[in-house]
Amino acid sequence: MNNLAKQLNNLKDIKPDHEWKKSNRDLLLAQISATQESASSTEKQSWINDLPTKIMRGISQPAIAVFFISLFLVSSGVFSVVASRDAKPGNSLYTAKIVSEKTQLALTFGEKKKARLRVEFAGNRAREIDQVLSETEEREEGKSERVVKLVDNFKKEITAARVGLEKVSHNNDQDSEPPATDTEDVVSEEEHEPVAVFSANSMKQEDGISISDSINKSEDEKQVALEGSEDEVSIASGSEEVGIEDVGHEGDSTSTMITAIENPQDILMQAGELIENNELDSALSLLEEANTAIDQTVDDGKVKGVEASASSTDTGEVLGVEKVASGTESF
Amino acid sequence: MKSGKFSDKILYLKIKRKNKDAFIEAHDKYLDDIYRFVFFKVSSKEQAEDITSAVFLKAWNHIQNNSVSDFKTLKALFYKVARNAIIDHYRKKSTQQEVSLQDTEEEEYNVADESVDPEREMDTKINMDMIHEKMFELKDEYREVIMLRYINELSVSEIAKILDKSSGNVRVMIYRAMNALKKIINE
Repeated sequence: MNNLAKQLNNLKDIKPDHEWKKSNRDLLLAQISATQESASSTEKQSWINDLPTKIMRGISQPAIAVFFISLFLVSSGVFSVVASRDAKPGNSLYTAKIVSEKTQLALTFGEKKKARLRVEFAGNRAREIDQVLSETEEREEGKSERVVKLVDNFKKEITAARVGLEKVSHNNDQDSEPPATDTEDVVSEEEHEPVAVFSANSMKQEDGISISDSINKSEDEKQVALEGSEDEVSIASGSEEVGIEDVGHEGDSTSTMITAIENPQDILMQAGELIENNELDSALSLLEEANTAIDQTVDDGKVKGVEASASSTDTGEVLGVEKVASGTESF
Repeated sequence: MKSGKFSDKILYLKIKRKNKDAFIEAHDKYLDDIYRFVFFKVSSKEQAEDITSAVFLKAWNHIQNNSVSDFKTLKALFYKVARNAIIDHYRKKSTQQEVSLQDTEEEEYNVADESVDPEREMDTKINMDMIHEKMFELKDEYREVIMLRYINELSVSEIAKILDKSSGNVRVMIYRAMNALKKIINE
């Protein structure tokens, strides 16, 4: 067996010619090179030909598909919101408008900003009421119902805005309590002087005696005033009247200013009353005022205008006193 | 054996990356074995040359388009491709008869000029001719396993992979093939 195996192993010497080996190697090399070139050119061509297929395959990839779907949803949402801006109640896009308002509200932080938004939305409802009322008779049916609903919505917005503003003022009052005592002291000190001036004026009004006290005249001048005739006193009192009227006038202007920069909650309440009386224009203008008042509301919960009114009141009083004084002096 | 497999693997990876030099290296390494394997199947020098040449080109294309993992080793791949090429060859010439024994006698064997002793060389050639003749009297599958095991010196497991048979089956086949060859030679 082993001998046979050895004899068989001798057959291993069967080999191809050296020349054939060499030629075969060259031939194989040439064939391989040709295959490679054709493969690369085919690859290039197939890449160009398969480009649309590859694009489609790429689009069908889940990540890209999700991106395009979300992009479509966002863009369609934005488009519908923009298109629904002028939508009226009953329109198909009106729901989108309400939803976008609610979303806007949900994405807004801070009671003050929310209140401002609610006032804005209340304005929208008022305008919608106007639009519904001005509609042609074709859509007469259900008009009153829609108006009632809009009025309800208007009131809801107003109430919500007022609640928000109250929260703001309440929170800020709590926050600013310790420094408030100092402020109050300062205010009381400031208020003390006008009170003194008014008391002086009132006394002067009552008996025409203490004008000199109020204006810090010398004792001689006081005496002259006391020894004055009735006519003179009447003149003096006349001048005082003028002065008081002036003061009163200044006081009126101050009061109107105070009304103008009234608490936004009160303005909103007034707007709510106006809308019930179908005074849309007045309600809208009040809403604008309310917006201005909310804007002027400083972060500590006070109204900027109040401070301004206080200073203007002071000025008015001083001016009045000066006028009185000048009147007395002329006397 | 392991180092041979490792170098085979490196060669395969190089060929996979379209390294022509690596493929030429593999060609030089396995050309003789594949040629011999084909020659014992077709018993014609020209046909063996043609088929062997085609085997390497097919193997190149196969490596570029497929994974060699089915064949475990580069050597096994070449034998497998060679086997299929021979089957194709016989399919094309199914009507033709096997090459006659006389034809094979006319074949010239390129015996390596290793032996210095001319007498020994002559004896060897006589023995080779005789065994070669007797080999073709064997069944094809016996001839194949004898050739792979004792001439090309493949392991049983390598033969099993090439023939898609179990190692035990291959061992039995080798044993029966050798007994059959002995019987023919003793006749």
